[in-house]
Amino acid sequence: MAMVELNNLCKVYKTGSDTLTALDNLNLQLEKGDIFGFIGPNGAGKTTTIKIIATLLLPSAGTVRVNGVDALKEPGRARGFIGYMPDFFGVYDDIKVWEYLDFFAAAYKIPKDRRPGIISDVLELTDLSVKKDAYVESLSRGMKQRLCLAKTLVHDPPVMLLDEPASGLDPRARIEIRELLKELQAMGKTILISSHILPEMEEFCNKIGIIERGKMIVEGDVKTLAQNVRGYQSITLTVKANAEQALHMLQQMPELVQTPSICAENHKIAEGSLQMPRGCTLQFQYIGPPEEEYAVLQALVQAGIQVRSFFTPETDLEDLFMRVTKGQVA
Amino acid sequence: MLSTIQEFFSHPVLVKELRSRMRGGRAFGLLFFYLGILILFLLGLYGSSGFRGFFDYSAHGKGSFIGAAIIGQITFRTLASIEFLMVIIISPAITAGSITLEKEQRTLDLLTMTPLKKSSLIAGKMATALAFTLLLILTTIPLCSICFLFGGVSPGSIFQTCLTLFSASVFMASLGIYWSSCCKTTVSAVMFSYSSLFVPYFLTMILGYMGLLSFQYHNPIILITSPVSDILTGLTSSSTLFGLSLWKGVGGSSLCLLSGILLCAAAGAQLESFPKRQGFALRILSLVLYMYLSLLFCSTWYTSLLSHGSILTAISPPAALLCLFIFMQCILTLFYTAGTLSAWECSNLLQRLRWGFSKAGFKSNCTASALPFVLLLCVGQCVMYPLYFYLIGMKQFITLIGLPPHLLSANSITTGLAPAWLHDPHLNGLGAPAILGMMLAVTFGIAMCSMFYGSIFNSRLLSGFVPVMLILVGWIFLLVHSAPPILKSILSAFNPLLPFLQLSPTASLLQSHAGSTSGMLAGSVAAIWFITGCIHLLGLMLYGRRFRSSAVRSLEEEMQEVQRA
Repeated sequence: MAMVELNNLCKVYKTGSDTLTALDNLNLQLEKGDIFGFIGPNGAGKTTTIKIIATLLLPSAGTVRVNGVDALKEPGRARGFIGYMPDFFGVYDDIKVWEYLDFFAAAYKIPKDRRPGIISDVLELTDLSVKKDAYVESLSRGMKQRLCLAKTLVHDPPVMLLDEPASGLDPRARIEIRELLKELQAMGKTILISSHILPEMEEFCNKIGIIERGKMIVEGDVKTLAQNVRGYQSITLTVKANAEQALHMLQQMPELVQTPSICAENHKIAEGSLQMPRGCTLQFQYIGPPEEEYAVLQALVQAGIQVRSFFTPETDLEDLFMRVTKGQVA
Repeated sequence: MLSTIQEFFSHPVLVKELRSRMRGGRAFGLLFFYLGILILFLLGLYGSSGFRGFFDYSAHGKGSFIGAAIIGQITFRTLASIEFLMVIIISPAITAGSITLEKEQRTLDLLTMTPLKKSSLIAGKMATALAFTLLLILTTIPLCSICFLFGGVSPGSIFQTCLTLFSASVFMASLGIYWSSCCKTTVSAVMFSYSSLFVPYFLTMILGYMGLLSFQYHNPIILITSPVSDILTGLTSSSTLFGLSLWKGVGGSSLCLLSGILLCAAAGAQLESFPKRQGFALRILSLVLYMYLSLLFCSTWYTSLLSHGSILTAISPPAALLCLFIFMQCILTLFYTAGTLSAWECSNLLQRLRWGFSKAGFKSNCTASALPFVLLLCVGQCVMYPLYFYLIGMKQFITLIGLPPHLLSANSITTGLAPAWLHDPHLNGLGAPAILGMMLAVTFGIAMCSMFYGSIFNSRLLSGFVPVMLILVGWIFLLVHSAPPILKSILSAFNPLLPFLQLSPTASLLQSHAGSTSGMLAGSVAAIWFITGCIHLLGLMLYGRRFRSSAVRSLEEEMQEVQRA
């Protein structure tokens, strides 16, 4: 059963005499454990979609099901399955961190004797235990963001809707949030996360959807998407020697490989890992049938070329994003 | 029982609000300031020479007990009136920000996501605000005890005053919370709550001008703005309500409490994100308030008839009652129909209006189906009206409201009041059919007007503004002497109280309408409002045609959301 299911979702705003279509027949299906990255330019309809799933807005047409519950007919039941974190996190004045969490725990009707345990658990998870007795307004922005995440975890929801959790945070706070999300992923939660900071998304999302002017332009697995959109998959190959021979071999396979070349500079495979010496790294674009790129490797190895590594670098989401969107805002 | 109390005190909103309210120096600062002002007034009063002179050289002889008692009473009334003034200023200030702050800090969405009901949220906020005003009221009791030095004031009357003050603060606080749930910012909520406090005062001014307030200390409109006036004047304070002997000022207090509950329910309905589900309770509540107000009016009218019956001859009492009904009808119509109609509602307006008469439509809260409800109120009130007087004519009812029957049997007004409703010489041809027709037409006209402007301009404020302006135009053209007579006689018919003016001492204003009876005036009012209503209905239907083709189901007006998204 899908945890989140949107069918033909439409949202039309009336501004005086003219109408504005914020969402246009949006469809989406998320299974348990999915981490869905919701990407789009500002004003594309990300927040509107999240608010509709969170039962805070009524759609003009379409249906929303959360964990099998019709969110439009039974908003009260659907809300129980959802943890919602808005893009702008507000604080109450004159209230301490634990009191803030206690307030929401009480609002979620968690019995009084269970609350202290839950509060210390979520504070532990969000790394805020030391700030338990601090006033909320004294926290830094990143801490507030984490506190808000802690608040959404108080009732242990299976579905989490996070609207731009990393916006306005410094790099360190952003990495902390990312680590936190990875932990949530390990807990088996279905997470829908919207952002426009793309490199973060590709690291932990298993699905992405790009939305523009209320329409879902592309949706699916990050890597397949990239290949579908670009029509190729870029592969980096490192050999011990004989780079020219390898290049020659690649050039012999035009049905599978296109634009092979030897990298001119030292190639860095991944952050902090070893650097490949100059002249031993090749790059090419694989255009054959998807998930059969091993055929190229097989051919190279059979020809006696000593292959040290053969891998697909992280998909460049920003490139993908720029390709599918046109910079139009609804 | 005990668990319910425990549950209430562990209410999350209550706990959180109490924590943050009493934290830091603000609450104590306010308390200090409040008591400081009261003490200053008390000292000033005590030190003033006239006050002392009253004690020394009163007619009752130097140092007499009666003189002392009078001083005690004056001190007490001064304290109570200043206290009242401060409470009505402070209580809306506490609640006006309570919901708007949640909106400004964007925590309202987070609260909406919890299973916490909106009514529960309002209840929690109200309980905290009232706890604080109760603290303010209770801390003045030691100050009041200075009156015991002089005498003349019983502990019971201090308790009664506290009760009245508290019920006044319930009304003021709920007014604040209602505006808080309507407005987007704290500033506008504060502005609206203070300015709406003046509306009842303004209404009483108009009524007073018409000579309708000759028994003003028992007029419900005055009671609701100042239930304390009952105690302060000490003249007509009545502790009976429908024959039950309660505390002084019980009429005003009960009215305040009832309207407070209605306003809180309205605030809760306003906050609901899927608003179509909350309508029923709200409508029943306003029906109850409406009926209670008229019963209270009848009851208090007879109570003051008992004390000084001659004043009442200024205007025929049934006419005064009818004026009040029409006021209430206009306000309730605006309350229910002001607001924006969605494009979907416009496109099948007639269906919606018809739907309002069905059971489901009556329970819903959508604007278009509210029209049948307000029309129903109108008919209900017109049917209830002769019933009240029929009841009053009965001896059982007279004993029920605690009046000695022999006093009333001599009064000619009461005999045959129910038949007079159909053909009343006092009302100058203003019989039941004429009044019912006029009230229906005015309700229809106001409803259509507010729906039309709400939809066209997409603003709830503007939708209520236009019908109010039309009524004001009616008043203004009545008062402007140089206006052309035709224009004057047409435009002044926008004033729904026009037929009653002829019965009042201010009938001289109606020179342009010379020769027409009140019934004819009612006819002209009905005609002009009916025509206005029809024009706006037509406009609304034409406007709705544009949306008929689009696949839009229902629309919310959340411009801010779009801009933010």
